[in-house]
Amino acid sequence: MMLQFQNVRCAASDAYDGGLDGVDVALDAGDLLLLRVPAGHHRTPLPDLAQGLVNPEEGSVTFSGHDWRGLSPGRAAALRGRIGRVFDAGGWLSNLDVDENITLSQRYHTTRAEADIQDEARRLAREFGLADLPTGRPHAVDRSTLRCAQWVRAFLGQPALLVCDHAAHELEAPWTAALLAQLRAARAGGAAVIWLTSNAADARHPGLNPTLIFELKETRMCPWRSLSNSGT
Amino acid sequence: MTWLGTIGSVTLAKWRDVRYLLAVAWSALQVAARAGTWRRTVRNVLARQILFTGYDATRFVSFIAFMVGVSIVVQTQVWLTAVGQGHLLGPVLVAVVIREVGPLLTNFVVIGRSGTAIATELGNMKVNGEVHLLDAQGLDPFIYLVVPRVLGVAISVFCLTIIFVGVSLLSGYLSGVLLGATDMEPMRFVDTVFGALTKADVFNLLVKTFVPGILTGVTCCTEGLSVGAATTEVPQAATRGVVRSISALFVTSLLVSLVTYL
Repeated sequence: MMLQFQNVRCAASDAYDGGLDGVDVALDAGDLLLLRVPAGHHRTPLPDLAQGLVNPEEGSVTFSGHDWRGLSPGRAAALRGRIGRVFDAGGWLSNLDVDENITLSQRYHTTRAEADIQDEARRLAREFGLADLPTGRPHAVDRSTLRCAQWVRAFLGQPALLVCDHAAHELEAPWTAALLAQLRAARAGGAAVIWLTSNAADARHPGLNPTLIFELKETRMCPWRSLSNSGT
Repeated sequence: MTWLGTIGSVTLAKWRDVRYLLAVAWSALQVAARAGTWRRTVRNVLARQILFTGYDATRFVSFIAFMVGVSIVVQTQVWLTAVGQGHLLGPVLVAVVIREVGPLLTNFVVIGRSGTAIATELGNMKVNGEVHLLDAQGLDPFIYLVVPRVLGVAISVFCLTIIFVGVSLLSGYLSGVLLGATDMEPMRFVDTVFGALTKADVFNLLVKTFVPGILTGVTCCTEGLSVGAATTEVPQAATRGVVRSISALFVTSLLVSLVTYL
């Protein structure tokens, strides 16, 4: 199992819009978990739990067979290096250029040659409709370019898990086809995906093809009934 | 609480702060000693820190050193010659410039220039969620943010102090010659000063540069990272960082002087 939540409870805190309770979900290689969250509910602890950044009050979260709580800080950091994440807001180090931000994780976690990392990042950037890797500080780069750059960073280095936080509106962007193609390729390559969205249409998007569909109600993740009824 | 109890609780709180500071400094040195720490991204941060704290401060430190050279070194030459103690020029300059003024003023410049910048930068990173972002990418903030900054500041303080000492002695000698305060040959001046240097002076210089440098780096990093979610906490953290770094500087200088020379 790639990622497994076992009876997880996480209390609400200042960092999140609400807590989670009784989360019992397992994701295998190639699975996509779509979680619909209420509109305006942009900070759920699920991505941080999946990455082992917060510990649940109850239950456990395992990634690649490892319970996050039992790992040393160094081992946990190395495992996080195999996770690509698209952040809903922010997501950039302001004292690095965008291209440095994109390659930072690969340069830190791997011994790949600089040119090799740059080449892969450029190829991904072109596939997402960018002329080249964006340069300059993040505050000086427009929002749509930064969105594409987030995808480049998330897919760089063939991650084992992709955490896509509120990317629903991106499906309307001109590079949707490329994004979905990359997502399909990543899943075919064994990556599991967590897709958080407030947009109901995402679950019906033919290119997304979720394996598990849940809806966040209060602190519970419930199967999405409206979709079940519609036969999706 | 009685006044005695108040004094006791304040003292214990300060002692806890000191122990925490020393524990972080020790951890930073331990982590820095591991080869695995120095991945290319961490080396880049170290290089940038030395560039900013060391290289970019060279001109300002040289300017201060020039002023100190003109005022202190020339006066020393004039007064020692006037009282017939010219042979003490070397020991006096070593005691004043190399042992005390050089490390002290250089540390002041670094605290004022880089200490505030480090605390502010890390405070803003914390407020903007950039520390969380590093964690999410598997980059340990202690290794990526704290260790290279601490080491960068310490190395920069040492190098800047060497520059300070060199510039102040040179400017002092040249202005002394120009003002007619001395007619000593250049090589004799160099021999007088460096001949007065002892092993204790070298040890003193090393400790008074590296230790306060490490403490400045650790203090300003921890103060910056202690910021919560409000931007208003950032300047407060920067101020605390500077005040505590200066306190640590004076305490370290005093202790090292006592241990080395008494």
